[in-house]
Amino acid sequence: MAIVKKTEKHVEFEREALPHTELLYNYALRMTNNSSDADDLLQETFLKAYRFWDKYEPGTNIRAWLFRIMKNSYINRYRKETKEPTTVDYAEVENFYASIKDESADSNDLQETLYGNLLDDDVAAAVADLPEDFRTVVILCDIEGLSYEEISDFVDIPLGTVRSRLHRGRKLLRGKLLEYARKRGYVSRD
Amino acid sequence: MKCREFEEQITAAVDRYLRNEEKEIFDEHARLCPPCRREYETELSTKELVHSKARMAAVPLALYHSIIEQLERQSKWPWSVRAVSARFLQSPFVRPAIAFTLTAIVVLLVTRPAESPRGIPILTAAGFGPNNVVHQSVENFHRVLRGEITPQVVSSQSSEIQDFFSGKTEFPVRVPVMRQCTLVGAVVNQHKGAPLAHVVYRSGDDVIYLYQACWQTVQQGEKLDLALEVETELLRVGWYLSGGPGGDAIVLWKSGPTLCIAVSHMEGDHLLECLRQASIDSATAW
Repeated sequence: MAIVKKTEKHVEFEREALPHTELLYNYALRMTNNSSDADDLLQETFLKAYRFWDKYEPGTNIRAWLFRIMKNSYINRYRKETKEPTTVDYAEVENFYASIKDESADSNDLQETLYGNLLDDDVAAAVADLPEDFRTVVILCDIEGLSYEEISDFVDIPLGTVRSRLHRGRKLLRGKLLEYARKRGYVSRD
Repeated sequence: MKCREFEEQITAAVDRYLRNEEKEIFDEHARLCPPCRREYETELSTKELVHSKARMAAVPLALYHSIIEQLERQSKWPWSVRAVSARFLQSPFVRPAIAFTLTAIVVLLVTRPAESPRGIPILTAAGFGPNNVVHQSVENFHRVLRGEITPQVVSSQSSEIQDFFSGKTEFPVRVPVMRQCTLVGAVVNQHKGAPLAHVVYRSGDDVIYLYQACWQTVQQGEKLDLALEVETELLRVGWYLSGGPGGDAIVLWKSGPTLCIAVSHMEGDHLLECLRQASIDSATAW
């Protein structure tokens, strides 16, 4: 059996970076909505991070550093292909937000009914359908359980923006979940 | 508390970021105002729904092992390449072939008719503006390969190339000395009045083209520009690696007030290694 002596860099990288594999994989999975693409994105992220390991400053937030590499790889790989605009049209979001706000007067019973019946796939699809900026904060906060401070560091936006994007993101999500509930007949179309 | 203030605090309340005294006031308003309470409950139930239905997925074991294997391969990469290169270069047939190729490239670069420094045309392709520096650098690289851009100065000495640029640009031009790479020559020109520096190297049968511009001018975005995500990444990580449409490796980095973009047909890893080694050799953060 061949014994391979690992370099100091390799050992350090394995110790520091690899424990965050699950966090990155889930982000990749939710952003690409495709396990094969998520695999590629995760591999690319780790290989890039390893290549540029000397650029990482020990003691700084390794998760944020890895996340930014993944986000950049995602943008390079997918935004070009989909020709998705690089910015969210906030005016459009505001309009949509206003339209779904009126629907929020549903009773709690109704909410329980429609939310209780939705499938995991419906929720995953609704999250995947959010505009990128909102999807990112919803994934990081509501699925991955990161704090506002960490999200702020990851995405490089102020804490107040994290909160407002979460608020709007969840509103948009609710609108999309209502659409799914209507399609499935859990709630009337009126 | 007014309804507007309540709404602004809903998300913080859902995520349990309100201090005790804030939460008391928030709860009191929720008790007295059913529409606001429903807003809060709706956001809370949406968060809980996502958390319960979109669960964290486990990383597939095969993927994890594949990453470990690739990292191990990469950790051995520099040695392997050097060893393979050394063996390759020792072959009696290879050296004359490389020498011939290099000579052909240099002859092509030097003997083509000179053109105006202002005459570097820029392709306007879909998705890129004519001011985009990455696009300009890739286009120029291909024009260098086709011999359509000829050097204004031909020298293998870094100091001579450095002297050539002296006083011609408002930013310091970097002329790194790269191992296993030979300087060929340089050009200076302008785009919409913004000076640009171009340095060409050869390495084996590859060419490395180095494009340089004033970082501040690029940031202003009027004469030259850069995609926001690339700029953001440059400022955060200090580098940016990308692939061009024709398989070109593109590396961007910021060196003080200078934006540098290297383009080559080399493998991205190899190009990076050349640049990184030059940075270590010069003991400066160029």
